[in-house]
Amino acid sequence: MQEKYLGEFEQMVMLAILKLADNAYGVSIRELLIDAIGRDVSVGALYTTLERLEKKGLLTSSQGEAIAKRGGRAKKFYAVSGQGKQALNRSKNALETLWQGIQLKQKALYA
Amino acid sequence: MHNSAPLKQPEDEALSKALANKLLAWSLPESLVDAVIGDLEETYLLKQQQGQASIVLQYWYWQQALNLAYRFMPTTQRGLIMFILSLVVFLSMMVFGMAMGADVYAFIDVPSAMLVFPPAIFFAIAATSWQDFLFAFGCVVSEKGEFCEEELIQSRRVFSVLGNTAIWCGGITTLIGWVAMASNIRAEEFSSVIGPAFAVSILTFYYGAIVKLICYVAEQRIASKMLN
Repeated sequence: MQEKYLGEFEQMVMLAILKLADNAYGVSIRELLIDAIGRDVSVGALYTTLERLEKKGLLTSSQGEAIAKRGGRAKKFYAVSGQGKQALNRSKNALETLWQGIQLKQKALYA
Repeated sequence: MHNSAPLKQPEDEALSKALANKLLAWSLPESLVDAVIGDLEETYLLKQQQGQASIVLQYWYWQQALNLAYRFMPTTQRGLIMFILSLVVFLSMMVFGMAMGADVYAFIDVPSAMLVFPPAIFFAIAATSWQDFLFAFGCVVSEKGEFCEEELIQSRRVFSVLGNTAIWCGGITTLIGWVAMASNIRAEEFSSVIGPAFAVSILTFYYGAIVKLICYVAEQRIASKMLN
């Protein structure tokens, strides 16, 4: 089977879902991305990524109950599948391997 | 901790959101409609409780709705986009052809249009019903598979009647024009009158053919929905 590689934003979304555990849905994922890494993504960007990852089999989803403060609409909760965890591990290992022996000096950031 | 009770919204604010939600319901995949609109409503409420101005919130809501529609429409409304694109290309080529061949105004004649479009619409409504007629247009523009076979057959019939009636009306009124020309023209003014009179008389057929072509494409679009 062909190995699945993840983009940077895909990894961020999947890690956010893992951190949020049972409470991973659109609003909480966006809030965590803002609080943790200061990245304010649009709802559209988030949901296109979630849809893509779900289609690839890296995420699973389940429907919550309708809530009044959401205009009577249900939440869609996401969880990282076994395949998703494997893909995350692969990406982490690949990045760690590539980072070995590299040290960026603070000055280099502004070069 | 913020208060989670929904705040009362002014009427125009609610209307604006309802419109944005309609756009979202139309452009998003069915599995995402509730989740996305719910998320937008929840975030809107949070921002409202943080004291953000109504106009800022409206702008944010529409910005998110348009961004979502832009991202999801190419997949959820692909057929409609292609249909509209093909119409735009066809109409552009037609205008280009008219401009190259003669003056564009030579192709515009209100009485000729009145002899084709209203009768064709009237016949299509008479042969089906006003509800079916309106429903058929909704059926063409909607990409979601919520139509039953009977509705699709009826919608296809609307376009079939509309297209055929338009081309028949165009053909018959062209013939009427020729009869009128032939019975009123005199030998001494033949060469100066025949050209413009002939051009105007054939315009009805031209309008009918355009309607027929568009209806044919709409019919085929519904036919492909029936196969799916």
